[in-house]
Amino acid sequence: MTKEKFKELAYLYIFGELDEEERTRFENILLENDEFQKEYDEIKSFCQLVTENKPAEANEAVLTEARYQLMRTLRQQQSPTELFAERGFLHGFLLRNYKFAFSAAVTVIMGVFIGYLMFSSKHTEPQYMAAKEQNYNITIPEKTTQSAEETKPAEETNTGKEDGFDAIKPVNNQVRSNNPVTDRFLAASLISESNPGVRLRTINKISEKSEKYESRPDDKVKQALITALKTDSNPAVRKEALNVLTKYPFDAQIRDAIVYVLSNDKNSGLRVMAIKTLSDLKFKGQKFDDNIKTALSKQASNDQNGFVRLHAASMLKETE
Amino acid sequence: MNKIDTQLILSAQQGDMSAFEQLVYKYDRQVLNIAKSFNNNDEDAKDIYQEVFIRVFKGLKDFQFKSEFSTWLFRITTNVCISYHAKKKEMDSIDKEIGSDGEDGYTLGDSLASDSKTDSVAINAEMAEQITQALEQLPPQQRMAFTLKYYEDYKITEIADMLRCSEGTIKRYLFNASNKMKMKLKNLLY
Repeated sequence: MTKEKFKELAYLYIFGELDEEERTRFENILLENDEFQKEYDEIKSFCQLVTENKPAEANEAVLTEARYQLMRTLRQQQSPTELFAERGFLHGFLLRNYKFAFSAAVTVIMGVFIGYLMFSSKHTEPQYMAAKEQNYNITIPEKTTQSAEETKPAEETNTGKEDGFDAIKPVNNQVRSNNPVTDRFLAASLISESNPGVRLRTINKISEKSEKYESRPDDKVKQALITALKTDSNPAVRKEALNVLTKYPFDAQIRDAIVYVLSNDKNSGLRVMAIKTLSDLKFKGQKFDDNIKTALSKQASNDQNGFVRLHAASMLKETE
Repeated sequence: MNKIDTQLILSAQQGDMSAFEQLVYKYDRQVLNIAKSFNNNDEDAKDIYQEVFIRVFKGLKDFQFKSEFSTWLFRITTNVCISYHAKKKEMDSIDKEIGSDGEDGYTLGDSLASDSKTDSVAINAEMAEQITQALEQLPPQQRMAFTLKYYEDYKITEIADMLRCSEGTIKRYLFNASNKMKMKLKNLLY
């Protein structure tokens, strides 16, 4: 056997890549040949040197940070238009080169239509337009229940006193319906807006809508809130997202989100808030599964913050 | 293929982000470890991690279950590691030219031959650094095969799958890389 062939066998032997028969044959070669035995010892020392000095594995903090960055990047790559457009047909139809002009026109028309839906007011708009045309002076009542027929032209009243806009009370064009288009806009704004103040106001708006209309929450909005809770860089935004999610019916996704915050959030205040949220849910009669208990147990023993450990241990006792 | 992986992939292909997240969390530690072993640098490892999973995210809709998801993922990982390394080498080449002071053939033995006293921790760190430097001089395919075998303890068949080569080619990479490394580190062995 040549020295080169022996070296290859030696490496394979050390790697554990030889079968039973080949291993036995190799061991016999070692016993019979001192030079090969010496060569084998050198190779073994080299392999040990390398494996004993291997680079340290990436620690938990590096992994967590990499995950945060990845999820944020992926959410930003999901552009707002994808939340609105149908897959397949519309995607291909609007984005082919030779239909670019048509798709631009369609986008403009869609934008005008969405703007109309968001900002039009059925009660005040007709009155204002009528007054503008006939130079009427009209008042905007606090509760906009007045119809166009009830508004009388200024010439007919002849009281010598003009009615006008009350400059103190602003005209408030509230969106009175649960408009899914509005929901999608809010969800898109929450994901893609770079200003944390705007994201915070978006969450407040979502909260206001869910309280006011007591409607079933839109799934896209809920997903956007969960994403913000897990990946937003601003702790105030994450805190508000958690507040709003607790108002939604408790399900597996919200449970996983709360457990994620408890286990991974860098801000200890938010971890405490997650525990408090669980406590409130328990008070309302919600039963906890093993996922939650495991997360609490882990935080009770491993969390860096003593306050969090205390709360987690206390919560764990209550669940047992 | 693993049934759980299949379900997660199908859901993720339909746009379910939480399914994609679960898929990521199942394998991302291994991806990060491979990247870290190859580059020995946390920042580079994170960059590679991002690139790998962005490619997976974009390519998942075309995944046809012809292989295991993990095999496909680790193939992407090794490709990204190698191409990242090539790009970085190009960027660093100018700095290296300026900074070169004719240190060809330098081995750790030469530095340890000096009279300076170092404690065992410093020696180990220096040893690791020299092994890393020796590794950086290997061609990328050999370096990847070496890293996957010595540091991540993958089998030769698995490495062949990841690098899309035959087992014979991987063995050749390993032997050549090991012989070169052994030559460069010979003063550490005796």
